[in-house]
Amino acid sequence: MPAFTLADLQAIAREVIGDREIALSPEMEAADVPGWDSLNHTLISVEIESQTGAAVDAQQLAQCPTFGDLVAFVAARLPG
Amino acid sequence: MTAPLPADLLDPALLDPALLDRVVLRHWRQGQCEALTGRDFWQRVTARAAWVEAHTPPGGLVLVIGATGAEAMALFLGIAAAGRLGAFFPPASPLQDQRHFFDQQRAALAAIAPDAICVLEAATAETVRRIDPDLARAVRLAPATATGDSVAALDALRARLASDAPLFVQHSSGTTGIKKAVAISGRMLAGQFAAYWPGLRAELGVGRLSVASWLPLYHDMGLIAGFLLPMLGGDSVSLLDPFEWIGAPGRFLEMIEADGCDIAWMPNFAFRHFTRLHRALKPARLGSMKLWIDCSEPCRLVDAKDFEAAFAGWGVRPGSVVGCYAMAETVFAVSQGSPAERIGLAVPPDVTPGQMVPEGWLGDEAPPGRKLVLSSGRVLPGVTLAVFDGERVLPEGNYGEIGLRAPFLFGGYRGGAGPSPDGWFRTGDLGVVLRSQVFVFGRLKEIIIVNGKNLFAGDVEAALAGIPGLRPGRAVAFGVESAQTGSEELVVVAEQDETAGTPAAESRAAISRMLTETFLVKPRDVRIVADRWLVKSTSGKISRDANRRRYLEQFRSPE
Repeated sequence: MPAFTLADLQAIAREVIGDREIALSPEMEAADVPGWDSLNHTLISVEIESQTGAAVDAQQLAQCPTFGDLVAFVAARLPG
Repeated sequence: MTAPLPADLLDPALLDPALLDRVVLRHWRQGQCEALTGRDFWQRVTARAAWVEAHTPPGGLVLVIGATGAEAMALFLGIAAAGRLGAFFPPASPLQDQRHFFDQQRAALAAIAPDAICVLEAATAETVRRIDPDLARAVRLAPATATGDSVAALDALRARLASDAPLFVQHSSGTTGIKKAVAISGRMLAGQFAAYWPGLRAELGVGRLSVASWLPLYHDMGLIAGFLLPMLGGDSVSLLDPFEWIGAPGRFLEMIEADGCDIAWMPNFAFRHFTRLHRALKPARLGSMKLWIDCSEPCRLVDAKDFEAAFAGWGVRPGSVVGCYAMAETVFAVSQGSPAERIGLAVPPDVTPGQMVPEGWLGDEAPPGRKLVLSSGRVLPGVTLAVFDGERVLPEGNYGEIGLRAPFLFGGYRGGAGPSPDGWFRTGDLGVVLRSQVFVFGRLKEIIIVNGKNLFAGDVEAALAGIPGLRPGRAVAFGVESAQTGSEELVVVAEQDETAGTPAAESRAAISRMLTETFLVKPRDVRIVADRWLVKSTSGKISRDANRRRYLEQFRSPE
């Protein structure tokens, strides 16, 4: 995965939460998304780290106010 | 089904002073451990008791709000030792807006009507003071730490274990309603210990248990199994804050390895969560663990076996995950499984109360379309469990409502109903007893259990009233079992008021946010549907069952 985009985050969220209709936008936050609870947040964080190699953890990602912020946070920590 | 009543429920070894010289609590934070001997801990309890006597009204109901850890535990026991009635209230998570969180909990706090609210963090105390002038008068900022030389609280509390007077309060439901406050006396707590703890020690072959817990103290499983019973017995507890567990579950396993813990209680969803996380966790040696107890929500054998298989290489033993049936109304445990007797029951979706359950359903596998319920073991000594159909007690092997009698059964909810005059407490849970094993797999009440937290469907529906863009009174909430999470999931379907002009996505996000803040539970799915989508029953009410079926057909592929 050469970059990390909102579409990548959306794909991971759909897979982890098991909802193919989740649609994320940059200004949304986790509280707006049914199914994105604290347990799934941890699983999503693990999946982001696994797929991108970015050194991020669930607590760091939970502090990103919006999905736009989260994507930027991960993108800034991609390896290489 | 009755097990023999112990001759003496009050174990003379409870709160034995010998515990003062042993480590009784290991509190882990961010990978660092603070170990407390019994003396360290009871000195803190005694100092807290003195502070409570000076700052709260005698005999009053005193809430504790603070992070899970030694200070909150010492304060809770200090309240009991000082002759007050303690109860834990959930704290805000470190990532939540405190003001917003407690503002959402205002109704719950008002319903509890505490005489004092002891808060361990200054910022939280200030927040709670600001949300309501009536509550502000009750708020007390407790010292962040307190200790001294005396351990007198140990004797004070031991004396209270022989009393029928209320010692503390458990809230059996975690919703904003918090309608069901259960007062637990010292004698009930001692009775639960006598009926439960010796059997666990014998099962594990140890003189004292080494308990691992990440459970919140405001929940009966964390409060009783993860705190009070080990403290009474001088066993040891290794403790991780639940918020830290959520963010870094692997630390729980690292704690088990470091402390050589041998027993842990977790809700069913946590077994599934660990299994899903397995490949991302740092390996830990878990061979010291002899029993993992699956409790607090419908127990599934498939989740127990998947957990054992995933972690077998780390030392988790086959058959070590066993079920337990527990509730606040009996202090905690009603029945407890053992590895030697663990078995599943393959339950079809159409089983109905009053029906005979054939022994052919017992086994370790389930055919497609059936759920494999994990046995919750044998009833504890002193407990009588019967299965009812209406007012009629059914023979063993019949499915129906579970009724209980026990020497540690509560006398009634605070300000509400309790056991019937003949001593039976009708639980509202549906189950069956087969080969002396208890299986619980249904409910009479419209309760949705999400990750161990109980929600009343009616409470959820009522809370939707203020959401813009919805038709008033045209919403339904129900639970859907999930193989993916190992728990029930909350689903809301609401009809859109097309004249309001509110986009459906906006209503959906508003519902998700409101439910999370109000009930501390995230809905798994929220559907905004067209006018007259919801199905009514013949009595004209919106039918949860019919709409649940319609939702599954229309929106969810079979899992």
